[in-house]
Amino acid sequence: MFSAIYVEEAVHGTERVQQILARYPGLPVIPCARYGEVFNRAGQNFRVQKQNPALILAEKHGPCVLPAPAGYGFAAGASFYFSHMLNCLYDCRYCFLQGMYRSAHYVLFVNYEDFSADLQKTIAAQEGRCVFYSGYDCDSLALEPVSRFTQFFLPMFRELPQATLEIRTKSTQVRALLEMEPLSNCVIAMSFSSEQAGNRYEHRVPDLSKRLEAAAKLQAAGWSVALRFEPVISEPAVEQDYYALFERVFTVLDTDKLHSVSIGEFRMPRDYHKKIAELYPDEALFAQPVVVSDGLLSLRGAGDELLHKLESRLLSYVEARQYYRCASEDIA
Amino acid sequence: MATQDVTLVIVVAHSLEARPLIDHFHFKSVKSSALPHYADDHGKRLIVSGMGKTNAAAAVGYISGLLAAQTVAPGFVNFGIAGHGSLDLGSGLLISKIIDAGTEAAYYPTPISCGQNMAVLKTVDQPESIYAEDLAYDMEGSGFWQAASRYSTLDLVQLFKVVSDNAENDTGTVNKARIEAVLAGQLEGFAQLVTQLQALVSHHHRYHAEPVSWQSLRQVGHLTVSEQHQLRRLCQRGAALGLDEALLALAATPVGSGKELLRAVVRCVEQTPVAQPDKPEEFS
Ligand code: SF4
Repeated sequence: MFSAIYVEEAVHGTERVQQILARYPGLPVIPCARYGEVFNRAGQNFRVQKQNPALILAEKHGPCVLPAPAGYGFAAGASFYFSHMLNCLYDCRYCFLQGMYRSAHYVLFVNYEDFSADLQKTIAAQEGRCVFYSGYDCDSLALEPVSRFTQFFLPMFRELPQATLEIRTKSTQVRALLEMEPLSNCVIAMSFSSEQAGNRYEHRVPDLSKRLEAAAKLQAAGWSVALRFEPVISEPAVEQDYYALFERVFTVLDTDKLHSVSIGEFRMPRDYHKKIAELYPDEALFAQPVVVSDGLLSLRGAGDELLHKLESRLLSYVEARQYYRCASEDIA
Repeated sequence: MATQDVTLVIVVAHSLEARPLIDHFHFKSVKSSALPHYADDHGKRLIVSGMGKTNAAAAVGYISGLLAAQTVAPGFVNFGIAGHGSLDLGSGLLISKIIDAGTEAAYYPTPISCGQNMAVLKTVDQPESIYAEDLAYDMEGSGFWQAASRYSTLDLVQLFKVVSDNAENDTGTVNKARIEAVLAGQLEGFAQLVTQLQALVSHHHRYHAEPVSWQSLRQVGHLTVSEQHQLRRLCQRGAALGLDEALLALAATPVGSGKELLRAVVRCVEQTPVAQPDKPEEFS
């Protein structure tokens, strides 16, 4: 899974790091002073590095909780995101992380206690309800057996019912969730693309049927599940592909119990697109004609008409109150 | 990728370190070179830099200059002997971290899973005789790294060291026979790293290869340097979209100026409806 583990000297002795290292006794452990020495260097190639990614165990300095980008997520009002990880085990070709980071190594920030303190401070400063998104810079559950993210953070959210946590994922790592009592203020948001788009773009992502099975198990156990159909990539037969996906998904899941359903087209900041196109000059997705609006780039020929069609089909399965259209570039 | 493209340059400090590689990889001497320099028939070069980090960096610069016409830079690997604070003579080490003893700066080659033990290397200015720390010691590593990671993608730069001296057998005991013996024991391991690194580099070269249509279209009409860059990227996009044939057809059609050619290529790439091209080949 990893070619090596880098460990910041400051966190090497912590219990969390020692537990993680104990899982990988054969792997080389490379000490470093700060993760940026490895992660932020110029001259790296994300695509080459993705062949042999390493895990970096580090301490997050500075604010751990940040305001969510405009248009991100389902709730109006105060919304925030936090990232205990940078980068993702999976390798979706459309993922903007490839343009955002110079390195494909996975950074896991192990000072969860500092995240917890920042989350509690942020919640205390809000007058009403607030929402926290996890999974903006990573897939929140994909590394769960190593990170034990849910085991640490969910008990904290259980004590703070005025805050909702959305965990965005394409993973099937739901065992830890199934072993605990569901939280009414936690939403597991599972992202799906049509099977054709998944086969083409979503490398190393668990099979669609396995992810649907995981979502169904969560629902059956009482967890609040949300569906994120994004990014929709305009291609020949895209409508039919998504109609088939909807049929499959809504046959397996209980629509009444769904927290929310959203749809969003493939969009990305222009700078990220440029970087990814340089990394993947052979990838048709980044060779297609595009349009740019407010610094965000989307494929020409996509846009409202396609999304309207998909929306009206979606609304034949779910209630309008359950639906929203994602207005920001989105991942996971 | 043109067939003559070099995919990997091996840098050694001393001719005694070069000898086993020349035999193993069937290198042949390259004439009229300022530094001892060898080539094989499989895209590899071997260069003997001389001792010390300045010489190692200079050798990287020298060969990079010779290969400057390549579209994509080769990978680099530094091979040679090293001292070690605790390991046995003959141990093979893939370097995961380099510390420059003079500046205290640290550098991190990207780990490659190739079954080799990984180690931290300290590059010193004088041969190490105390072996105070439990790590490897050499005199070239940091100079080699700083130069090679400037000329190539740093993920394609590696260092492989073989322990030739330690606290029980210090640098004073290192001789030709010792060097031959310790290197011979690690040639297979090094060859595995070379194969893996060359595969990574070849893959990297392949997706940055000059598009077929670019090779034909650049001959048509006069293009400024900036127009050539635009044309190259358009041809890459065309290739990714499966439009090579349409673009090649343009090369056969008479066009006027370079600008007109570019306009025709833009029309072709931007306006041809996108079919579903094949999934690009991925390495893993
Ligand atoms: S899109 Fe999501 S699941 Fe895919 S690589 Fe990016 S973060 Fe991971």
